[in-house]
Amino acid sequence: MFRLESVSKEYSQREKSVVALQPTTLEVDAGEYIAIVGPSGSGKSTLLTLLGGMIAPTDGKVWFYGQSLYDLNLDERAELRRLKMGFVFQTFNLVPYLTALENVQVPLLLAGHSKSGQRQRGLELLDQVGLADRAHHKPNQLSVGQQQRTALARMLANDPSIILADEPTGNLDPATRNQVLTFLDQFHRSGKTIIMVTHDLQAASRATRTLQMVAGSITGHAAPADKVA
Amino acid sequence: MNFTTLVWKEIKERPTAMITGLATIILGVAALVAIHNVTYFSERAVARELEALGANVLVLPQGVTLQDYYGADLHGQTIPEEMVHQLAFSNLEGVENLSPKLCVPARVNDRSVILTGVLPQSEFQAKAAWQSANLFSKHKGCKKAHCTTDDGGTNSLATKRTIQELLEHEALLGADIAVATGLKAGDKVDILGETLSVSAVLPVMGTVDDGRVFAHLHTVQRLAKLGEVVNCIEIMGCCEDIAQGLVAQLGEILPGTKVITIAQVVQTQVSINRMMQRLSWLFLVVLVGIAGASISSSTIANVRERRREIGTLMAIGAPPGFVLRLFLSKALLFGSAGGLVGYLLGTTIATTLGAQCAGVAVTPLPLLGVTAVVGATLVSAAASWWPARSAASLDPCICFQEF
Repeated sequence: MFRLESVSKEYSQREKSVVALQPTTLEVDAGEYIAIVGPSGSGKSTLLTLLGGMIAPTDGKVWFYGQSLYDLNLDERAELRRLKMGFVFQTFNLVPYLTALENVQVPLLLAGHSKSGQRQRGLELLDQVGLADRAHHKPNQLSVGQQQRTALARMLANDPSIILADEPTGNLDPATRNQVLTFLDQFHRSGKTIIMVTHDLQAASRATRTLQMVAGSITGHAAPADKVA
Repeated sequence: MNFTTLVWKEIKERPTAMITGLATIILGVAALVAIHNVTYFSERAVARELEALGANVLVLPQGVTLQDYYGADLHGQTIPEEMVHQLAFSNLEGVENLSPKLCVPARVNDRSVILTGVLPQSEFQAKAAWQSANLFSKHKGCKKAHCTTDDGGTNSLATKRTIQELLEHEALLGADIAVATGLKAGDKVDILGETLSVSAVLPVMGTVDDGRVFAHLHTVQRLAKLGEVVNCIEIMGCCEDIAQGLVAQLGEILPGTKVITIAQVVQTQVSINRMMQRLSWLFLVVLVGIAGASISSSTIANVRERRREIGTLMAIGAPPGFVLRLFLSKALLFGSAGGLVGYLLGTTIATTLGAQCAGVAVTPLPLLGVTAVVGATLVSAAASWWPARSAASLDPCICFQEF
């Protein structure tokens, strides 16, 4: 599914160059559940954004289903994200002035669905994450767990084949955290590929593969048998 | 949900964000529309009046200015009434009417008024018949079909500056005076120690004439104890072509007076209007600059505030064009709404204050409304273009916590 060929990323900060990702080569197969772990500033989120087609690498190629991601223009990459990728954020990133249902409808609007189609699909997804009765609540009227579940429903709107999650349990209490991880397990079982950045080793333990990152490099791969229990 | 819902909900969520920009557009458009309305209708009124009056000429005492004339002739300087008769029987070609005036301050029912003495046309005609003289004649090649004297109605004093009949004990009231004093035709009015009979109330003119009481010239001369003098002689030429020629001839007949055409007076007014219009263009440049800067800074602030939201929308598949449209649509909405409200406000100001302050009746100009809306929308869109473009070119990665 994904293939990274000597991909590196440097940022310029006040005329100084900061290496966020050392030249990295990596392959991700369809159906994998990968956890990327490591300390802050180790390059986890940079790797995730590179995979999501959001920021061009300084060097190297990112291949997605045989297509060089960064040889596509901005509109083509946006379309790819819209149709094939789903994102889960640590801070949920719901649009504050829209209701839960409208937040779920945004990707459907972008994909060109009709109003009635958006509404029907939105309500189905909210029902799937147990929020049918909160459809018309705005994010500030929802609990933290409900907000993350709304974000999960939005992520599923266009039925993506790959889910890119950035610390999806970082802001959650233990009960909600388990609920979210259970949803991710379900999505994985339904055939979706998941790449999750996390500090949470227990969350990482649910993945089929763990990538350990330190100072912009992948320093270790752990297979399921090697992982922390 | 559709695109408009998204734009509209965001506006409702942050109503204060664009209020400054919107207020600037409204005030700017309102000011421009008001100025344009007043100057436009003022120029039309002047042109209409000039056309109605033909080639008018003023004969004033040497030291009197146009401002004095516009100030109801209360300058105290006079010329002998004899000059009126000199003019009437001088056989000047193209003179259609003469209207000598003497203005003195007076009080009616404890209100200050301008008592203006006028000489009715019947007196010229009687004198002409007695002297077997030709009174008034067209000039050769006159474009005007008929040189007319007035039919004598009291309205002619308002419209043609002359009146056919006016007895020595009669008075005509300007519209404002009639309203202020409650006097009407048939009432008696005490003025400068004499009781006159109100023969008519003049229609509203929107000029200083609304504040005058007109009486026979000889009555005013007697009451003011000024002798046989007048403050000015208004001369109605039969057409505009004659005006310049008359000025030269009048100068010879009436030495020691100031002779000017009303066309010159009108020209002064027109120049003022043009200056106002030029000033309104200057205002336009300044206000466009201020409104543009205000809208631009509001949009920049809005983009900054919504960076994470923009990144999230892009992450879930919004192309840059969608983000650009999101901000430009808002700017277009504010521009068109500001233009429309500004036009309505400006027109209201012009119609209300135009009549009161400039003496001009203003009616709404629909084309100006279209111009205001289109102009404000374009300014708003242009001012928001750069911040909207910068929003559209943001990296979607800003949606992540670490970026």
